[in-house]
Amino acid sequence: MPELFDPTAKPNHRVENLAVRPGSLAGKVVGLLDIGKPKGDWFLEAVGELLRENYGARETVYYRKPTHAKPAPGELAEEIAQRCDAVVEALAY
Amino acid sequence: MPFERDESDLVEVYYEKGWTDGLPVVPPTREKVDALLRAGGLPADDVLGEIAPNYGAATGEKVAINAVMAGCAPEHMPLVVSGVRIMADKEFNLHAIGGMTDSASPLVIVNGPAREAGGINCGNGVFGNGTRGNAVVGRALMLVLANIGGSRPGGISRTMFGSPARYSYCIGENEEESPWEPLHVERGIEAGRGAVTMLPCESPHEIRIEGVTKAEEMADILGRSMCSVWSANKHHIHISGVILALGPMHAAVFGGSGWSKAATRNVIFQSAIMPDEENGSPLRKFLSPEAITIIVAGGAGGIYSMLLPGIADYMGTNMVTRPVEPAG
Repeated sequence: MPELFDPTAKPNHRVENLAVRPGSLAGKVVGLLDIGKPKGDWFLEAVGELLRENYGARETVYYRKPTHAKPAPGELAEEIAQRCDAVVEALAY
Repeated sequence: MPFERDESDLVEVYYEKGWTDGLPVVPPTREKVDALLRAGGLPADDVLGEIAPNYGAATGEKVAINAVMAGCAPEHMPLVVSGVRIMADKEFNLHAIGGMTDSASPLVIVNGPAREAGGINCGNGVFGNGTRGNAVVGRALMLVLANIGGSRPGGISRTMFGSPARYSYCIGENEEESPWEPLHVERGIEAGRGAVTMLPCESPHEIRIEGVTKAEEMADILGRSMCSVWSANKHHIHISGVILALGPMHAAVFGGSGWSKAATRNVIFQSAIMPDEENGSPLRKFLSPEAITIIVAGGAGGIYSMLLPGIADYMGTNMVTRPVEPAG
């Protein structure tokens, strides 16, 4: 068997543990992260209304990624983590 | 029926491993990989960058292996190295091509002395088959995207249609038949240097214009023909850009009238008008004249130019140019 040359590289992935789930949204601040596709705002506005009216969320805060084709900037993720107890990240159409 | 299994048949072994683009590859040998490392001026463990979407490390060794597989000879390696550095550049945002549903492919435009040094065709059949340099340089970069970046159709790549341009998409600018300064000079590289410019683009679309000798009329037809990019729908005016590859005959109409590249682009921009889908009022296709990049490519004898629709600007993707270091 002649020598094989593997052209592939290992993915550079980090495995992160999930944050602790809040259990209930009552009295919580929930971030709504629009990934930047059309009508994401429209969809998330409806989700936010449901979370406030039916699940007792105290406040929902709308955020938007600059583009869906890149990961969220670090400062944006940090801001959400500081201000919110939970976040909904939505994929639009 | 598959061939009978033969472990010494490396072409079939590389297929089995899932390491090809669907075409047979050149099985790498230590000698060939080392020759490409020398030609690219790369230590084997030097990391050129990380390749999206998996952000695998593009070491000299891995890039050289993929380049051998694509069919590269030493003279092609400097172009591959510049291309890999562009693909790893955050400005280029390879992430958008590697994982999204669209069909754009990283187009490589070679300028300056790097064209002759790398055996790159700029004339007849520039977008097509038949020239080793064009075929293997673009192919090497697509193999890097699949093997180092991990982007395979049906896997991380969710491309709906793919594109024939995803086998290889590499051209040279026909600087000798252009009335204007070449692309790399427009983008800030010295005229005597070789350069590679890349932008993710859809497959080329031919625009036919026959019997037009006036620059105004030529620009008007080109501008109106460009309104079909993506869709004749106002949603799509937000576009990062298109590349217009003028055929030498069309370019000569502008050159003969003494039009600069900027003036030509401006009139094309103003002619690209489409109706607003809600109220029918005239709406510009492009946000600015700078959304249109003009190059000259292709051979003599035809009445065609080629339109290369770029990937959307909201993908955060930009055209990137880098100089090419001559082969070591």
